[in-house]
Amino acid sequence: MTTEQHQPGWRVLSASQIGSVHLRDHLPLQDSVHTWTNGTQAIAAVADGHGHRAHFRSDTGAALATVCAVEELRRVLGDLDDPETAGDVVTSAAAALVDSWVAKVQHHIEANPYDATDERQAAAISDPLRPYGTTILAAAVSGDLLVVLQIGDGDSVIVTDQGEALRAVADDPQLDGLHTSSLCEPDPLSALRTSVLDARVDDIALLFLCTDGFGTNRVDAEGWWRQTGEQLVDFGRTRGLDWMRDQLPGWLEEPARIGGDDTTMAIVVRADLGAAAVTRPVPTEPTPLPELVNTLDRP
Amino acid sequence: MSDRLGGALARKPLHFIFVLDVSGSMMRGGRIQALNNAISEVLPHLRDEARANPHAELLIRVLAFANEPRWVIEEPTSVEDIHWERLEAVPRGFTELGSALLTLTDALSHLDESSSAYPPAIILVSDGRPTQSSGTTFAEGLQALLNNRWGATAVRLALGVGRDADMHSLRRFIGDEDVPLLRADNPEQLVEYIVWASKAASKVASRPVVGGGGLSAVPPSPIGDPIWSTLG
Repeated sequence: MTTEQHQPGWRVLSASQIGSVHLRDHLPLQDSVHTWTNGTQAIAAVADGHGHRAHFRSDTGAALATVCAVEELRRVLGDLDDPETAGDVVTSAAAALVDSWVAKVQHHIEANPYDATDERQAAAISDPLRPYGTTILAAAVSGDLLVVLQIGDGDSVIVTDQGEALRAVADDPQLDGLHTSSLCEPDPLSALRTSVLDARVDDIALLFLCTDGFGTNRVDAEGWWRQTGEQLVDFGRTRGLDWMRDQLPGWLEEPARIGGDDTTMAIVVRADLGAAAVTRPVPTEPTPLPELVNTLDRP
Repeated sequence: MSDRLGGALARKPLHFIFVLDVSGSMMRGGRIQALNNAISEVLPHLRDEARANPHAELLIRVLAFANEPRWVIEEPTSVEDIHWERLEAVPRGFTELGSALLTLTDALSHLDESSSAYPPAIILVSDGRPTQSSGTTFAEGLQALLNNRWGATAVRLALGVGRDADMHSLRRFIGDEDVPLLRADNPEQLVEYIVWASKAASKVASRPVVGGGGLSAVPPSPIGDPIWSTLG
């Protein structure tokens, strides 16, 4: 049996829904999600562009952040072969991500300079990154090695094969539900949180990344992410990954409507999780897709 | 297992608190009547705001103050359930704003400590200079408010009534120099300014964004004659 045959396969599911407040206020979708996979390696990135009017280009900032995250993590995927060095690799990738994001934002500003006659844009001239403010959450998996990086709010959660959910990165004490760390700050790497996990040792079935729109309005404010993880593993095992992919936009629609904020989730899941579900009957019809905007990635 | 991922959802409370001056000077020039009319008129607008913000549960409280603070509506009450009963000014009543801010702070300290609520919106209306007959200065009351997590993050707006309003204190209450400080000089202005402030505060406080408030709404231009400034 070759080494390749031992490599676990991974799939990525993702979707994004615009929040009801964004629709009300004629704001764009300011979340972004970008993913990549070749079957044995996978990358997912989600970003939440800040909604404050000072961050009036945060939809672009979020989109650039997810692009940069996938680019930089793809660049180091080949180096993710040793748990001992993977921490340094992901930290370096995060630094490169920040540099790349700043460079791309500056290119965007050059192409779309601020209008000094506009009060809001004029204020950005002295702090040019601020209008693009965004969080970034990203994960990469290569074989059994899984790395996570995060700057700002949102949730990165790993879930074991038994359905036990664990926070993928340490808490950020600066996050109080009202303020967040951001890529637009002078030293975003001071708020960088990373982790390295061995999917085989830790028995990881999946990882999900979501913007704060998904969890903020949960009745069970402390435990919703555990329930989410347990459900995802159960759904994957009993209904299959295609069913999860089809349900994901609908799962995001309700928090986006009730909570008002854009809501985005990316799931990196072991491809064999749903293998047994193929032979099982589907208990219920899939719920219809909502009418709101979504960016479902269909591999 | 439910097909709904992540469990049940609920609207987050948005606490909206009016802090109203009912000192003796509010009896002059029909100010207290105008204030009552303004609150009555703002309620339909707040109901509209509540309907336009389905993600937020708009809850109203009203704190009046003269010689001492007094909750007019102490329990957070849905705007749909508010039936406004007219306030009376306290004859020769002082302007114990510092004491009122302590009472307000105490109420805020009972709010949920988790992040499952929007920052409160607080609208202060006063026509005079804060007194300290109770022993609590305005500065002490304000500091207590700002030391409270919710007080510090609240969307704070203030309206002066007439020329004797202490605009310096009201500005300190607001804190943010970019937030307009308005002075109403006649009943029509008071109504219009309270409606504006209420809608602006509601929108800012309920916007689920990171980075806090930031009023973008432009306040209305003064209308009518400045009768309270000329009559004193």
